[in-house]
Amino acid sequence: MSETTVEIAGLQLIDYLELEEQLPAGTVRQAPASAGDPGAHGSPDFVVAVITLTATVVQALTVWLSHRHAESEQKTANDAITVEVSPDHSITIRLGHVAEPSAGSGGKLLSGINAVTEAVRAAAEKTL
Amino acid sequence: MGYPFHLGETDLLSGATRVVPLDEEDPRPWLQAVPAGVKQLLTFIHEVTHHWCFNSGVVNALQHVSTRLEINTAVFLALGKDPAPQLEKGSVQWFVCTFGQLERAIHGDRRVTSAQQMRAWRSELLAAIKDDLVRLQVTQALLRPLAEGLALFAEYDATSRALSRSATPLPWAIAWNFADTDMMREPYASMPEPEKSLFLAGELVADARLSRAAVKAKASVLAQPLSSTAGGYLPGYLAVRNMWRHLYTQSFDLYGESDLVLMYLRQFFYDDAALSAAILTSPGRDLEESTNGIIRAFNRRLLEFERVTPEKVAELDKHVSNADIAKLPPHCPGMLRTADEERSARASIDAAITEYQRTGLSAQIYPDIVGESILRLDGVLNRRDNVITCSVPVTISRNAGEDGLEISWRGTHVLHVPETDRLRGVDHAYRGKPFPALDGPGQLDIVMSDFSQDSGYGGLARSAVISREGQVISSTFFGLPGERDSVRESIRESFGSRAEQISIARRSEILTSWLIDDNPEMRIMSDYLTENLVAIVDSAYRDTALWPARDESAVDECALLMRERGLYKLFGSTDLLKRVALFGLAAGVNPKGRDIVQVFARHGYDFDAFEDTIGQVRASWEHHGFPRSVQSARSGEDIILVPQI
Repeated sequence: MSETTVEIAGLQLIDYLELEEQLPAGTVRQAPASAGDPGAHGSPDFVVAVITLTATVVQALTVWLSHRHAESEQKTANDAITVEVSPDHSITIRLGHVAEPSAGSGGKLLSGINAVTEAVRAAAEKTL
Repeated sequence: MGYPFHLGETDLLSGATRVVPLDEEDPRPWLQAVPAGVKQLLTFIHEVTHHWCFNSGVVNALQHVSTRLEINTAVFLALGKDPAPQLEKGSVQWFVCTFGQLERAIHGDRRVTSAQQMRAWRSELLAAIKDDLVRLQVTQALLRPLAEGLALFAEYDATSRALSRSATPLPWAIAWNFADTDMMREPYASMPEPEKSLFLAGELVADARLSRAAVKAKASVLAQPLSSTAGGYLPGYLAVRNMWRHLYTQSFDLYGESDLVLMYLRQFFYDDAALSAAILTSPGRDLEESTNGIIRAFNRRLLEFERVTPEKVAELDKHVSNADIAKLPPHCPGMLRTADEERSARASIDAAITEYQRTGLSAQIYPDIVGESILRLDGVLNRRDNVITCSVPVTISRNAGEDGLEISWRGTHVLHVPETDRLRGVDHAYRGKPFPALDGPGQLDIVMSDFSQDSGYGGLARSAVISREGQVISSTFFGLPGERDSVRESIRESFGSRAEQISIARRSEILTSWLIDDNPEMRIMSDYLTENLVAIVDSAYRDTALWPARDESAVDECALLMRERGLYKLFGSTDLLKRVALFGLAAGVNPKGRDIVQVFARHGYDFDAFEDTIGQVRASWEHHGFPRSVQSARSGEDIILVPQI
């Protein structure tokens, strides 16, 4: 069986490092950044984490997501969260400014922290 | 959607700015006398600092290089072959040949029958193109960490005391764009300017900096690679903080006057005539010499900073706080440059500009192409004082029987434009074209004018400009009434929407990308340079970023350790890194120990966590020789705590 991955976009670097600390070693990696426009300057880029789903990872990841959501000071665009589940069960979670208003091709889009953690658990049940 | 992206963004050559992601832009908060509900204060500060730094002598030199490159490329293509019938339409070669054919159709065919002459011309132009491509690439890469370092310093550290003699434009821009109704409330309402704006800006910024979001953002910067590979944020930020430290360890007043330090740093680097001259020297055939000339000039300037004293900063302060700006001498004091040195550098700049605009090969063959490019450059330079903070498509309508225009954004009415704000019948705005039909789509740009004026009051002048296809329809002014006419005049003369600004500034990039794709030798050169630039830039910043390290071996060890994960490698946990970030932010707002303890408490950290943070920083110093331990001093009843980062 092929491995199921969860991609989390819209992370600050410190979020990503927190995930590295909290998930089992070797289950999370940073997606390579695309080359930026040489003239464009601005605050640091968001990063994308690619996580390989295992039973232990599911638990740690949902705890991390819930904790991060609870910690947010105010529910603004910064705290939006959406999840898209593809037909092949791979999952893309988008946080804050990259949260998507609509699903991509063939995917099912849900928003809100409960929907996201449920989607991660459901995907794990189907594939692990 | 594409990843990754910046929250806000400022384009180096055009100065085009946005302070939120494109799809989150909302013009409504900006359409009030003092905006209410504008988010992203720290991003605004970051981007406005970029804009302010890029509106400078050094970036001006870079714009000339870009224009020279555009001219030489256009002339090179105009001297090329006609497109062969078998060329695939849309291929790079087809673009190259068709563009040349188009230029010949517009400006005439100046190709000569002598193959030798044609080869000589094209060879000279190609050498100049390669040289300028290298100059642009090297300069952008060298300046990027500094640009980001200054913007991060403005975002997290720079403050201005109410009694400052001079300040950057930032406090005014912040107070008048983020204060909401506080402006009108006591104790601010009855305060005189500039105290009112400085106090308000200080409080707004302090609130933003002590938020959890800011702590996470700063901790993320501290975990960035100590390398130029990922934007150079950490090397740039550490370098700028260390330059500030170099000054406040000589005079502690400059710890609180960090806004003045920011102004000094901008002037020291971005308005350095010697660096501008090195960037702009006429292109030749020795690419290595051009590259080395720029790197040498930049490294020399970085080294020169070690000689800067608080007295030099005071000289700048006195210079720019002179009320009569018109009478200021052109030579800016305090910059470690004599008037003669500056004159000589400026003469070299003028000579390089004259050569490419009047006497160089392209100007001799195709003066019309040169003239057109100079006009475009003038347009870009004329708009450099304007910051566009928001740009959205809108719908324009005119209600029958009523005056003025109604502007809707995403189906919601957002602005009534009175007849008096219409700029109809203005030759400059319409350039002889008929007045556009009013009902239909348009663009709304929020423009802040004259931002970089030394008085800083320019930050007050905000306009909502309605345009269609580059033609200005109206300009609605928000700000001090006395400025209305001059701002309208400036918009009438030189407005360009954000998209227009970027497309003009990118022309040379597009033209040369065709050439690079069509020319394997140039592609190899560009790739080779990109690979080697990382080492060059890292080497330029290494010593300044790690300036306070214990000794040379600590610099070597930390440069290696911090290469991929920055200070995270030294501190070992995200929790500690967040506490270190919080300590720096809190001490920047107020360095009194008991106040920092209170800020820690607000973030859920007890006194033990506060003490542990100081202890862990000391442990890193003892173990790695970097960063410096938190310095403490008694001030009356208080303990002042100053962290290095």
